[in-house]
Amino acid sequence: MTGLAADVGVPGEKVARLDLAIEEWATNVCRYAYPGGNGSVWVAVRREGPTLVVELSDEGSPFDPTAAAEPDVSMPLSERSPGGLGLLLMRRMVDEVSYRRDGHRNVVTFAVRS
Amino acid sequence: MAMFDPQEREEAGRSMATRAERLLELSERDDQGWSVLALKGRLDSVTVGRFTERCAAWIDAGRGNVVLDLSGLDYVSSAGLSSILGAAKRAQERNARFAVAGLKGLVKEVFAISGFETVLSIFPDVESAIAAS
Repeated sequence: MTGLAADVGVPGEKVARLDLAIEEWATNVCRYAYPGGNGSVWVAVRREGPTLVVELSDEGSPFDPTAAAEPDVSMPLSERSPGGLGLLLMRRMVDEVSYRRDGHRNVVTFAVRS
Repeated sequence: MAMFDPQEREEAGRSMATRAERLLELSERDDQGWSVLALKGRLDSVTVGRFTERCAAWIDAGRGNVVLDLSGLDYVSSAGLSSILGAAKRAQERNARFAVAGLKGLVKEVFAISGFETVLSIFPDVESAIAAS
C-alpha cells in the first residue's frame, strides 16, 4: 500500500491516517462482524487517478459504519457507547468513506486524494 | 487466518511479540517523585498488550505519580486510547496523579477528536507536567 501511495503522490501523513482508518475498521470487523466465530476480511488497494482507494470486505452481519451515530465526545466516557470512538476516528482520518452491501458482503471503501 | 496447528500458533504468537517490541519502545525513569514512562513508535492493536501489561505492573509498583511521555509516539489508535484511559483509572485508584505529555501530530489530533483532551491532564512536555504538581 505504501508503495502505491507513493506512486499516487499521497504524502506520508495521509498514509498514516489511512493506516489508522484501516486498523479501526478491521478491529471492528474482528469484534462484531462474525459473532459465531472465525471469518475473513479481504483488502484491495487500487489507484483511481489522483486518488488511492482501499476496499475492505467481509461476509459478516450487515453493518453500515457511515450510518452509525457518532459518539458525543463532550460526554463523560462512562456515558458513551463502546466501539463508537474507533468508527469516529475512522471517518475523520480519510477524505471519503463509503459503504455498500454487495450480496452477502459488507464493502467499506476509503478514498485518499494526493 | 485460521491456525489449528499448536506449534504454528505458538510461532505466530512469538513473532507477533517480537514485532510488538520493534514497533513500540518503552522506557522508564524517575524524575522528582514522578515515574516517567516514555513511548516511542506505535501504540496500536499489535503493541497495546505489551503497553497495558507493563504500565499496570509499573503503576502497581506504587512508585508515585505517573506521566506518560508521548513525544516519541507517532501513531495511536482507539485500542491505545482505551489502554491509556485504563492506566489513568488504575493510577487514580492508587491515589497517584496521572498526566500525559508531549502530544504531537497525528497523536495530538486523535486525542482532540476523541475528546480525551478534556478527560485527561495533558501538558506540552514532561517538565511542565511535573512543575504543575
